[in-house]
Amino acid sequence: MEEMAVPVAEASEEVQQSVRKTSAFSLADEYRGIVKIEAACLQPNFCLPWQIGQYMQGVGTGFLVGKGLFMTNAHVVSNTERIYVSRLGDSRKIRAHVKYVAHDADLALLEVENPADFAGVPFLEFDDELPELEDEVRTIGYPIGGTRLSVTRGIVSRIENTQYAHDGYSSHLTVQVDAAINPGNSGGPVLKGDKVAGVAFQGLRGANSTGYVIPVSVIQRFLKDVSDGKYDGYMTLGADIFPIENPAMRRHLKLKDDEKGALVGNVIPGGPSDNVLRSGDVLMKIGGHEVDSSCMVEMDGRRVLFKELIERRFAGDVLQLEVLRNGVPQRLQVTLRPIPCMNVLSKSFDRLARYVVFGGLLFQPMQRDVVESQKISNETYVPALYDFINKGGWLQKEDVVLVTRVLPDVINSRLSGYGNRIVKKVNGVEVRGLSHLCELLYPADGKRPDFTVIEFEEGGRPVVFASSEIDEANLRVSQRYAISSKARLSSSRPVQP
Amino acid sequence: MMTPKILIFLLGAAFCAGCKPTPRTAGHNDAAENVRKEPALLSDAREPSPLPSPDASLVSVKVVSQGYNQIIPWEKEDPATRKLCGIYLGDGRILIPDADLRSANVMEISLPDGSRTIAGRVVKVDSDAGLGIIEPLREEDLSFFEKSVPLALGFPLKTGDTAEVWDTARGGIPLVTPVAVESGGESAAFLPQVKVKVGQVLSEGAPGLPLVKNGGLVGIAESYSAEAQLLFSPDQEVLRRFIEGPEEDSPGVPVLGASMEQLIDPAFRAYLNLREEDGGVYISKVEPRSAAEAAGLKKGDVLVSVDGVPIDARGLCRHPRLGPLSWVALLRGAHALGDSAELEILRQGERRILSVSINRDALEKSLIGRDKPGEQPRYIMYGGLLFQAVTADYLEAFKNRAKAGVPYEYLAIERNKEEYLKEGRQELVALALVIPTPATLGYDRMAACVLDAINGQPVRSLEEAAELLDAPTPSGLTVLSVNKPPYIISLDRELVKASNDYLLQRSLPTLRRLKSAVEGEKAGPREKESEI
Repeated sequence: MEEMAVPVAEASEEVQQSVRKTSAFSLADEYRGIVKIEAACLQPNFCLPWQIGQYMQGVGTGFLVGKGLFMTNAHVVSNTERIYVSRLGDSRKIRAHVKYVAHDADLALLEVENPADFAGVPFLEFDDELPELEDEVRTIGYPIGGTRLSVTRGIVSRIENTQYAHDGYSSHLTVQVDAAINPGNSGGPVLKGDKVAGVAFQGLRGANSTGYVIPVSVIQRFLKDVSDGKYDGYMTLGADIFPIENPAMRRHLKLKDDEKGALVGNVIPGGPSDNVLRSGDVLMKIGGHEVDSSCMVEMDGRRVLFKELIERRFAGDVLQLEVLRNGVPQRLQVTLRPIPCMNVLSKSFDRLARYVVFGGLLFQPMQRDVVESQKISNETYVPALYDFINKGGWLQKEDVVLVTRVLPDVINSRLSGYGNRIVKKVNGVEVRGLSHLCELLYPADGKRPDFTVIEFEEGGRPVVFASSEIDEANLRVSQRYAISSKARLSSSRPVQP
Repeated sequence: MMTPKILIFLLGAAFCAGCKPTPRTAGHNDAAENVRKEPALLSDAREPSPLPSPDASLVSVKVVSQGYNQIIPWEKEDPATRKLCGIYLGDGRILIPDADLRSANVMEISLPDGSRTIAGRVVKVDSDAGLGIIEPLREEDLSFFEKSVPLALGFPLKTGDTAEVWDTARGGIPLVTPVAVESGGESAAFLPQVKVKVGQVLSEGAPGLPLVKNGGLVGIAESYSAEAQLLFSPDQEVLRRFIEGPEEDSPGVPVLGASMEQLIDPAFRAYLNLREEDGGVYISKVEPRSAAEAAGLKKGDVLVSVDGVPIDARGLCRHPRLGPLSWVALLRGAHALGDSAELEILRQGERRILSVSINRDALEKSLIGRDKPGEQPRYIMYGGLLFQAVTADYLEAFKNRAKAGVPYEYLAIERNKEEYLKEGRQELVALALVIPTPATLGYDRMAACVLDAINGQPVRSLEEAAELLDAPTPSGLTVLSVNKPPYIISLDRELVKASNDYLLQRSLPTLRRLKSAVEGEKAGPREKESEI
């Protein structure tokens, strides 16, 4: 169907005016596919995880890239309960759902229920290449300062790896522009000419005219990753690689004086490089590209961090490596795959908070959101994290379980000095994760020993509950603190209507 | 009934106290000794000697001290000035609270009326008890004490006793404030303490004010809270032990090396099969190489009495004078280093008596040592890499300054202690700082980690590290193994030498500080170097 949606009366003036401009791609046409996204979110409460959480509303921008398919930022549509999109000059709200989301790249694809609503609206096309410095760009979206579409203009200021604020952990290539990018612009297209050069997504506090754009390289990787119906995410080697800057280090490693090679530090047990790379190896080539001693490779005529190479790869890809091991060249290969334990380091989205309550003690799995909300100290979580990831604890355990809070009750009023709150054992059995803890504390057959004994890491005394008192205490705690369920072991959200 | 005895007692005291200060003898407070013996008969007709009083027995002391900077160990922190009250003990010696005396740059002693000021020096310090004894720096200044009257030791206080706090106001006007002993307690070093209720606000309230009863010294103000109207003083036994003890710094309080938790949780007690009436505390940790370990104490034991005195579920005993007191304070108050004590424990329902040595092995044999007061931290500067001995003082200073939190490499020290001791390490050496020099290019991020080996040889002490660094290598490189990825640091030895030379010109006073030496005033044959 070719007809446009009927414009709302007050918008018709602008639309008329823009239609009067004559060019091959009239501006009005281009803008038709750029929608305002209104998202109602529900943020889980990691402090009091049995509660429903906090409702929030947010506005962002999205743009049509396929049939009924809109691109936007992950952070616009995370933890959403309800998403509506509305077109330029049209007050109708059209329901949309998240089809694919990449929290490690801050990108998402939304799908509307009825693609026919957007029939005849042109798709925006992506540019093939990264822009150059000083290229002119336009940012289009629905930022604060008004309710209608806004256009701002600027140039490309810088192209560099930067941290992506959304998951608080990932960093990838970004394009920095001086076009005004404000809250609400998130997810909107940044056009160079008539092609999309990137997606506007973040700014920099305390700086002027500094906006960041997700470049086409990151977007293309996302689109390719989801083409098989599932988003796998970014791959890493699962090993820390360090630059070799000191000539004395080169001599010790018996390297030639040629500025090539980087040093392997930690290898994550169970990761892709486990049993392949070793600490002390000197990495000479990745995927055929020579690695220099500042960890850079040459790619597409530019020098970039070797991480960029791996960023372009996907789960299942095989990477050929060449290393020097004690001075002897070796040819190795790694098969890239996700490393699940690394998830504890980034914020989680679209997931419910897991917990167990017992005797007024609140148990939660160690992950970034929990550590931040419950203000777990460095001294407690850093060694636990190290054991879990760097020492391969994740191969034996599902989670590291912490007591994050004690809900005061008669049964726990005399607790003190029990250690650093990382749960080690229950009734002598080593705890492997939150679900396992729940089984041990609430046995399926209801039979408990006379005392439930909980031991913690780093010494201190065990916490002991008399089984004759615990059921009553648990009931009391759940009533007084309005805790509807003793545990939530799965973080999956229920299916939305 | 008591009056005649007291009169004689006082006369005896006055007789001795009135004597002019004798030429200095090593050690004890002769005046105090005389007070405690049978009073001498008054055979001669002598003029009655003055009694001790605030204006005659107190002085003002000003101490300016400056400790070493643990993070930049060749530099000192900002100086701190403290004004204290000093108590004249006789023989030109003054008792004051320890105000980092071993780091003192300047010490001045003034008469209460401000009419004369002389320079002072430290005789001995007990930094755990918080006490020090000082004397005039110059022999000729003994005349300062012409009109002073020593305050001799009295008898220990008990809960409910009344006493006085002595002070002087501007110009030397004596101030006497009546006080009462409210309770006993534990000082920061877990020594027995008295808590004294002060009815009226002490106008000056400086540390060092004496507690006096019947003209005898029974305490010294460690701290004072005007809001709470409480003054805290070490128990008189602690004072006595210090004043009458040997002429050297006290090594510190005994440390048994056991950590304990209260047993007030009824469920926990039931689980341990303890009777309600038993009391006792739960031993949650026993330090390796400690006196507790040597005595056979184990984690999980329940400690029920010390020297036959029962311990309640909060860890408190009944002290004959001070009432409820932590069992650790009771032990430290009653025993000197070298003694032994009896610990009664319950283990799996059986009662046992363990004999424990009163020593400081838990600290002294520990992997993590402590600097002596005033001692400069030990370090090696190597081309820009700063190595330091890992002491409790260093770790504490590091933690206070670490904005991003203590890194894993240091947090791991606590959990790896046993392992390190098994490797034969006497202490840990840290790569504490990396100063940018040509030799340290690329290693800036390696600061704050533990040094494991030098050129393949394990490092077991800072002195051993110095030897290993000095030993020549055929490659002309020094290769270090550390516990921070990528775990290797390699340095060009010639660049190290050149960088060292440069740093010396750049106001680094010395490249190494290896042996510990007490920085005290160098004077007087009486001054003894502390044992190393």
